[in-house]
Amino acid sequence: MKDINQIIHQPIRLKILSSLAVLKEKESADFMFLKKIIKTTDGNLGAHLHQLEKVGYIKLEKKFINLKPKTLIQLTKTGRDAFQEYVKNLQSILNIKEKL
Amino acid sequence: MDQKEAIKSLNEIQKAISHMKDAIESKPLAYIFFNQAVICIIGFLGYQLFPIYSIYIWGIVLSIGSITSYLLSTRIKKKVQSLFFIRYRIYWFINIVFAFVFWFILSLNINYFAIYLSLFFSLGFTVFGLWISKIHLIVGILLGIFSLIGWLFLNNIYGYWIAATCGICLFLSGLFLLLKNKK
Repeated sequence: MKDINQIIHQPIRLKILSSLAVLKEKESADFMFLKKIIKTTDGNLGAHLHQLEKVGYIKLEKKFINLKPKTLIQLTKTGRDAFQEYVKNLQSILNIKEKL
Repeated sequence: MDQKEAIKSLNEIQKAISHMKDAIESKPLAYIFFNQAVICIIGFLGYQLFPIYSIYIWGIVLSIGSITSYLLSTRIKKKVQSLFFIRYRIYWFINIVFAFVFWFILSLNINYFAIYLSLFFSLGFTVFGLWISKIHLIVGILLGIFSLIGWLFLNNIYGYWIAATCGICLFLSGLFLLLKNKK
């Protein structure tokens, strides 16, 4: 039995990482946009993002775009690797080799 | 973790990925396809109905179309700091400028303007498709085929033909992108 990364395994965090994994390296998503995609509240998303940032899976950047404050979220290399590892572990449980 | 839970997690991942792709690429690209369909229809109908003024009609239509495409792709920039639409805009800008510069360099007869432009679009979509997206490649090849069929067999109604085929092809591509991630 494979060890499953419990930080990623939580449903909201899994959604966050899956969504961010679509973006290419150096690309980032806006907090409000991610909230809409994940379908959760500001507080809940913020708390999970904070946990993911603490383990180095994501990077949060605060910026002013057109004089409005924005929080941009980017998946780090560590986060991408951990997510891929997590997917591989799930696939190995099911004995499948296909790539997502 | 058991297999049931693994399947559930993989499904959640797939759902999140397709939801995100839909939001950042498919939807905006679909609206850009609709915009390009309108550009094609107006431009080629203009060519058929007012051939002498077609180069001016195209100039106006492409300018308005480029601004609309720019605004559509800018909307996504507010949500995602992505390079995709920046590349897309630069690519089409260079293409259109090249199309007009080459036209003046070659000094072709105005009768060749429509086939020249439709083949240029076809090439533009094909190259972009080879570079980034499969649907653009299919659209590019189809436009090339329709252009040649029209030029060889339907020369008198070329403008109508290419407006219809090009318009439908682009409109259906947009529709496909809008519906592909819906369940």
